[in-house]
Amino acid sequence: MMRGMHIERAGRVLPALVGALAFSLLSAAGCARTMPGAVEVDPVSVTDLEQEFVLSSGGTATVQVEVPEPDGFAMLRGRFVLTGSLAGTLAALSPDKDLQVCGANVIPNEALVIGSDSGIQNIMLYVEKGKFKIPVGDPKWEHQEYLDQKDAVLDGANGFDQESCRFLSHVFAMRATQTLAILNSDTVGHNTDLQSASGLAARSNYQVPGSGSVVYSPGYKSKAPFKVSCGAHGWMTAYIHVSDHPFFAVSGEDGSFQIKHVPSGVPLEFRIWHESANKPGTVTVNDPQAEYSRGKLTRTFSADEEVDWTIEIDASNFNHLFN
Amino acid sequence: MRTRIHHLRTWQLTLLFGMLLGVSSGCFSPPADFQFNWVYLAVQEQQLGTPDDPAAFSDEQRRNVAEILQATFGTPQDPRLPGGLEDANPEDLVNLYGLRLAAGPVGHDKVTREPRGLYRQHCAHCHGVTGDGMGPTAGFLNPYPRDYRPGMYKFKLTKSTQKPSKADLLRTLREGIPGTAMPSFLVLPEDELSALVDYVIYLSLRGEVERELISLLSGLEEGALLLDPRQKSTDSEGYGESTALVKESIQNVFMSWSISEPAVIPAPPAWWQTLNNEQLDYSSAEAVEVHDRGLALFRGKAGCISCHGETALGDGNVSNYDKWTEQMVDAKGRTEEDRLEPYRTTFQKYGALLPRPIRPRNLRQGVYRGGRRPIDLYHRISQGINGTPMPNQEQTLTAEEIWSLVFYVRSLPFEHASRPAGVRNLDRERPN
Repeated sequence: MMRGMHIERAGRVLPALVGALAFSLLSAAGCARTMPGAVEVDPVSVTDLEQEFVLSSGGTATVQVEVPEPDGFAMLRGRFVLTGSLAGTLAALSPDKDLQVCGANVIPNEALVIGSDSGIQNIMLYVEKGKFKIPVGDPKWEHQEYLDQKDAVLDGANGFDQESCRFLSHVFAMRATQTLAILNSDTVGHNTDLQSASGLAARSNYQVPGSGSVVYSPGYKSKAPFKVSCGAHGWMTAYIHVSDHPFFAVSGEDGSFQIKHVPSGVPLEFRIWHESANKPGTVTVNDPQAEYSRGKLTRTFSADEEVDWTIEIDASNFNHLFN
Repeated sequence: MRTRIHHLRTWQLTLLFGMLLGVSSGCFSPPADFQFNWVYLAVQEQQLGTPDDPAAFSDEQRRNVAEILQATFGTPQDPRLPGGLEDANPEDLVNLYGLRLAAGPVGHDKVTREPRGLYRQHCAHCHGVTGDGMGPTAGFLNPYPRDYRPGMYKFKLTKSTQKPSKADLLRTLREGIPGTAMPSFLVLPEDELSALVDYVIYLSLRGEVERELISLLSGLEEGALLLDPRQKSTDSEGYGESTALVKESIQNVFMSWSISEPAVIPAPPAWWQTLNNEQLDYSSAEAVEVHDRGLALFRGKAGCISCHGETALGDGNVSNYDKWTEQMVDAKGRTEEDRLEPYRTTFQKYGALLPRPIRPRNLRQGVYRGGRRPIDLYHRISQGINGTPMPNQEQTLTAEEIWSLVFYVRSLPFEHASRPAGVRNLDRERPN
């Protein structure tokens, strides 16, 4: 009797154990890792949108955007000025390789460079494609001075040089049709990586030997400034923008910039770009005709007008650098 | 007797309960659907805002991107290509017939007996239905399967960073990638292989367009849609402008594939023929001379040692990340954990695989992922390897120099790794 009881109890425990094992196996095994959910779409919208992308010329006619014609040229210059006070200062970078060459000079952290009279250096101002595509090489749009430089080879002092393991131009702009010499004034080799990620401008990752050079022909424009780094020296960074048209400028030591001949009589959208404040938020411009929104300044110039912008950018835009 | 039945019921009930729980906790395979590129969305949000306060795109904006993608590229069951582009005809690049063979669930067409679902049969378990390199087996592999969505490919014979040709992708399918989990698909018939190539290009195009659309969001007013069909009746001019902008981005992606061209690979110099004539003899005077030339370049002008290491064991620079993962790491971090911080805080929750540093190839093993033919090695040195720190040296080395390097690199597996040539005199020989 006692024995029978024992077996019966075992018979009760064992199935429960098997059940529990099956339960844990089924609930734990074979489940995929958690992925975020798919984005639900509205089939009606998809069908609507498909009308725009019908293959083999069956699609609806695209709305032809008329390109306006400029009536002359204006001159644009100005300064980028920092207002308010920064939450700290940036420490210089500390190279850890090829110190004979790279340790020769102090390498500043150029994520934000404030020059004389609170000028902000290395801000790029460029005309972005707004409502229409800007024609390239059209004398109505481009002053002769720009046409002459359209296919130039940027070499020597106009090239893109690196010295003491630092890019001499931290922010650089060129035209898609131009050719750029990438120079190396150091005795060590650099591994210059042009990381054009968006747009059609060529990406390139060059080994530039000590005192050597290579040439870069982007061929097409980049959509925005792209990063340049050195595979051998991780602290080296710079930015290059490749533009179809010549309407761009990079602010100098005192924050000043100049675009000598902007087309007048047509609405232009200028983009303000800084590596640490993409589309800065708190910005004021001393020009009631210029409209600022999310990194973009819009204005139409009149022929032979001379415009001098003071663009004030608040220090709060750079707070994140000092945490 | 009654109690025994009762016990049986308990057992059955427990099992049933367990099964129900197991099923309800999501252990069945999800319907095949393209995954959204959450990682790239998060990268854009961070770039637009500040690292501490990233901007956020709205649910409507995300849905809009997904809808445009579906309208242009269809679904995994029913792929399509976008038309209505000004300067690009997608059908020139991707064969619609190939897409039909490769897409959808595995099976056959009932009437024609043509295969269906080749991609899911052969590729999706590693590369994922979306081609995001995050299939179910991806996490167990090293290296991870390729994510096609950025449209970057390593092993090809086109110029430096350009897109691969169809022949390049076909070669990878036929040969596999030695040293990785990518097998050879040589046994598949020709039309199935080329269908898979078309489908992989289709997934790349779709992934690149997705990235373009997401980055276009950054240029919009807060909360605005890229392309809002409702706008067609209220503001047809504005709608036309938005359509033109979206189409230009899509067109750029297609153009980047059609502008790619093969790199020039000059014929090897005369000594190459003599030295490779019969059994390669590295002890002949001429071979030693070429070998030493290659060695000097390896250590000097070509800069190979900075990554591949003094001994070519691939131990020079082992903390770089490749272009597929570098957006998820902080390259400036001092330790690996520091570098992985952005991944841990932001990208891990989107299912992204743990980024691993990219290892320079150990050249003493004689295993070359992009192929072991001299022409493959020549191309890797001359054009670099897209998406990795391996640079383009076409302008800085002569063809003769590159062939000498190829000769030297090919000799490395036959040299004593413990006594590599010249390493004992490193301090004296190393360039400053």
